[in-house]
Amino acid sequence: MYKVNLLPQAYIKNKKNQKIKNRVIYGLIILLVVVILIYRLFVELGVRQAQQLDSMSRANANLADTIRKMSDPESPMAYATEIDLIIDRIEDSGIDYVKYLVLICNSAPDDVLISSLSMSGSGDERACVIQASAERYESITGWVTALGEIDGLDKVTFSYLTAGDINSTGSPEREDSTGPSDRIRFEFRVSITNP
Amino acid sequence: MFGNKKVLGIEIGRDDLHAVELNLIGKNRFYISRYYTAELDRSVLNEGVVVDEDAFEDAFVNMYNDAGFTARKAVFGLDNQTTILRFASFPKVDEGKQRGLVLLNAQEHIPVPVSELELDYVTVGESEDEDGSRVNVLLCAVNKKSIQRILDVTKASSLSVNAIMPSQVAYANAVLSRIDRPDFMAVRIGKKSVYHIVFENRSIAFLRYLNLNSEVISLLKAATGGETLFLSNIEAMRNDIIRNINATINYYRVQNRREVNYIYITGGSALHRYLSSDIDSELHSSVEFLRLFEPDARRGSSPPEEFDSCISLALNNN
Repeated sequence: MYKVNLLPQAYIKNKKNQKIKNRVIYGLIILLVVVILIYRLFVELGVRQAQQLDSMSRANANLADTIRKMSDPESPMAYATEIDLIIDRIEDSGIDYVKYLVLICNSAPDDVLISSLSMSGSGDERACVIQASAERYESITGWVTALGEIDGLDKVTFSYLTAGDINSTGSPEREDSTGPSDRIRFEFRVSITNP
Repeated sequence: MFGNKKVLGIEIGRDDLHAVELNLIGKNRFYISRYYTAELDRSVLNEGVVVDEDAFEDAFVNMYNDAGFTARKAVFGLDNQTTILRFASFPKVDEGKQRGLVLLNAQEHIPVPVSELELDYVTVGESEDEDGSRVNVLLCAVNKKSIQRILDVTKASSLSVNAIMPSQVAYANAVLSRIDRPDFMAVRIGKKSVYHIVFENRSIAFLRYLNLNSEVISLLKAATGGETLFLSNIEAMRNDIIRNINATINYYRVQNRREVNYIYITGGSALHRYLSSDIDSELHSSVEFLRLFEPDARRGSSPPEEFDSCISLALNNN
């Protein structure tokens, strides 16, 4: 292809310079856009970091609050902590309370009804306090005898007996026949020793 | 090259302006969105010379606005005798120094002070003589004032001028892109002028520009408009065209000592039926009528053949 151009050299040079100028301007615009995008990216990263810090601060405050509540004796957490301590102490005592409860209950004659059974005391003073009722005095004496045969159980001490006298260290009373039944009510305490 | 896809091809004729807005959609793929002709009074533009600068600027701006052109780049072609075209030969030197040597010594071949001209050239071949290798060029020159007037009017339309070139060179490029033959003659019949270009080994070897006389211009206009012509008028027009072609062939034969065997006539579709009979025997060559461009009318406009040179110019957008 033949190429010929009769435009003045000054015009051609001016056009070339203008073209270079335009390219530089376009380049600068592109550069500016890129810089703005990078700046936005950094700003976005900063905001995210601030949000993360805020979130961590909140979590930290929550944790501090929980710790404070745990040390407060009024809080449910303190109760739970106290229960855990009691359980720990029981476990540390070396006495299998469940085993004794089962042995005590199983040793009771058929007509004896246990209404309450609780453990009390600590160290060498540990004891099982039993509230129960029976139809006959013989059943009570039979049960006391049976308890005496269980290893680890020691002295039986009656607290009260409400239906008649009995040969024991307690203070027996005769129950009034006006109650819902004629059963003999009684309470005694069995000392527990470590086997 | 195809960054800005719209480009105007504007041809300044003897007393008219032709323009097409070409949309490039790929290499040598395009469609025409608009085209326009402005016939100017000879008091404004006479034989390609601007007589009234203000009126010429107004005419140009009106053409741009009336046609609804939107392109901001333009290639101008000069289809008139303000262009000086001269064949010349210079010693061959290093490629970097060749241009300087040609422009420095161009004055020997141009009858006007080159300081008053805008000058450029195209290389059309090389030859050997007793002094060594020589470069054959076609010097192209136009008065600086004419170029400045074009630049002034384009400012009024905020157009950027990509090139100003002789229409003949743009036409030669268009012909070479259509015809594969190495040696041939191309004849371009315009509304008011005719070019004859002889190619040797696909290089411009001979070039002739002819102004048509007013009688032939009016006959051509009538033929292009589909009017029925009298037999005597047809004969006169036909004889005028054939005589000129034969004269060119004779000049070429004397100067280059070679024959022309193939002739391609473009821009003469309307004259085909008047010219075609026995033209081969009268020109002693194989003659073919050819339309250089056939724009896709489905995508844009399909301008008449007289706008082919404007399309050639737009396709020469650098």
